Amino acid sequence: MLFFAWLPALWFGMGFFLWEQAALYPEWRQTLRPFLQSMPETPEFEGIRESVRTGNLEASRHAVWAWLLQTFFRYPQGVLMVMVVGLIFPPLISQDIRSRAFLLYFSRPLTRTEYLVGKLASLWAYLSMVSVAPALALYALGVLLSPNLSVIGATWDLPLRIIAASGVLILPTTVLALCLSSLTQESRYAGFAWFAVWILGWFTYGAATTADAFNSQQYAAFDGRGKMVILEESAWTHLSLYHTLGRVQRWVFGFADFGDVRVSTLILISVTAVSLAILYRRISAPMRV
Amino acid sequence: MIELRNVTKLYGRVIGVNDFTLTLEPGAYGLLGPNGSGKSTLLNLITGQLRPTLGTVRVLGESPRNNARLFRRMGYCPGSEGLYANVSGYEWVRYLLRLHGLSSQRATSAAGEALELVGMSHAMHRSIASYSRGMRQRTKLAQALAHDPELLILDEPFNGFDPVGRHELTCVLRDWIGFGKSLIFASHLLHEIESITQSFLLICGGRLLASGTAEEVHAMMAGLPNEVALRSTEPHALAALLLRERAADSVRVVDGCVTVATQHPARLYDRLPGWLAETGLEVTEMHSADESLQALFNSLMKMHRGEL
Repeated sequence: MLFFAWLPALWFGMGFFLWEQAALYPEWRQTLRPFLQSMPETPEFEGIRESVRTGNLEASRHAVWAWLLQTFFRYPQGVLMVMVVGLIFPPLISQDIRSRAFLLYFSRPLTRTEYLVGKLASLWAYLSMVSVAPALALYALGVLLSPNLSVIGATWDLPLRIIAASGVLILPTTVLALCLSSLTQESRYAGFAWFAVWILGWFTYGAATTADAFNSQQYAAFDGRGKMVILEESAWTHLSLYHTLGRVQRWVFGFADFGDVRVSTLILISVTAVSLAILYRRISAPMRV
Repeated sequence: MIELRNVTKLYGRVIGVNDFTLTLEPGAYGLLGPNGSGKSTLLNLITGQLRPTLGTVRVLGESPRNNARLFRRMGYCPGSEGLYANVSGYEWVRYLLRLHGLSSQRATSAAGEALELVGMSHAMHRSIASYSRGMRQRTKLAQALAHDPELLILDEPFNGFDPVGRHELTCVLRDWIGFGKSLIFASHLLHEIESITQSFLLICGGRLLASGTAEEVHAMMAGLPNEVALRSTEPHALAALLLRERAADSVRVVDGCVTVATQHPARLYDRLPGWLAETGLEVTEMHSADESLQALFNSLMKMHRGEL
């Protein structure tokens, strides 16, 4: 799965390649058409279209790279994260509770916090391999495909945004995962709860958004004609953890103001804090009746 | 070494340990009690896994609760499984030693030595999933011993052992005590504890019923009626003989078995062969009905309640 996690980076690498080729050779600009069509019709992206029309692609390099990276995080890596965590986390604490291995752990000079950080770190390591590492590799690929190294000056902040977006992705999800694992002795229940959180959240959000769009006659969202509905902006976003994460990542990559994602950020912080509190309580006294 | 002051542990409305006060100096102690008597709860309180509902626990001068530093000086072998099936015994012990802060090289050698000490060197590179219960128990013991602690705490360490294994483990623990180290181990079998130490802590219903050496406990029991069961081809004649010779305070005959209550069992054991030779009665089976630990506890509980 870690191998497959890197494959989307190749696809997005093509995007970097096409953009940089188009910046160098005008004849390549035709190839950008499908690429531009997939961009939301919002003011942030209007600048990109304008730069293609005027031939000044370098002016939009930062926005395009950021958009590619955000899309990379948002879709392939977001789904992979759910799957990788869902495969790895269920036994991490539940197995220790079931087998009472925590008695062996805590009869060592090991604090509860160290135990918790150790468990989290194992998930962080895996998630870094599907988020930070391929995203940074993608950025490096973009630099290597660029006509010269001056692009680093224009995009120096993107590696930092990648790390920040990874933090947004990794912290709440790993803490929530371990919290679910600590709540049961049966790993499969933890795994089931994990996928239920994502799938039910997604479908509830999707159903609510669809109903909303239908009621407000925004059919264009479904037939591709006319103005695109920005799904992340739906009032129902916060029903879905996946879309809530997406909103905050949009802000991290500079496609939203903090004011727009304040509630989403608060939700993610709350999920992290509550999960951490439950988790800490469970591992502080695993024998509590 | 260990000090418990008015320690009570409640599991909801169930009492695990009830108003336990105890001071133990360095040495070896056997914690003896029937299943469900509170032995594991007491050990979990001593190792800081449980927080007492009331009272205070001090181990080696410190509170054991969330005291990671204290565990550098303690080794603990819990009664529950606690092992991961998909790693080898060697990897597991080594991993726990690494958590202990030992360097990779030191952990490697200490894990090998500890597993060899408990007789697991031949199977230590096999997956734990393939281990028998006794082998798992040996592996748990190895992890408790491997960092050479001052105080070793073992919860039912003989579980799953065959007689040979029990003997080997007994030798290991005797050697351990011989090095001047301290040991507390829980068991519900008297002979397991007697084979290692003469110092007992008798616990039942979460209460400390008695402590001391085997002689002290037996002396405390002197004067209390003991029961001896005798199986004979002529049980009623045997019962009459014992009453006539004033060897019994009471006699009960059930299904060919004569159960004798006596305050002087030693006198009965001493004279019975002579009486049988004189009368020609046959006894095919004899055992002390009070030999079981539960009977000892029953007597102690009755004493505790003032019924004896």
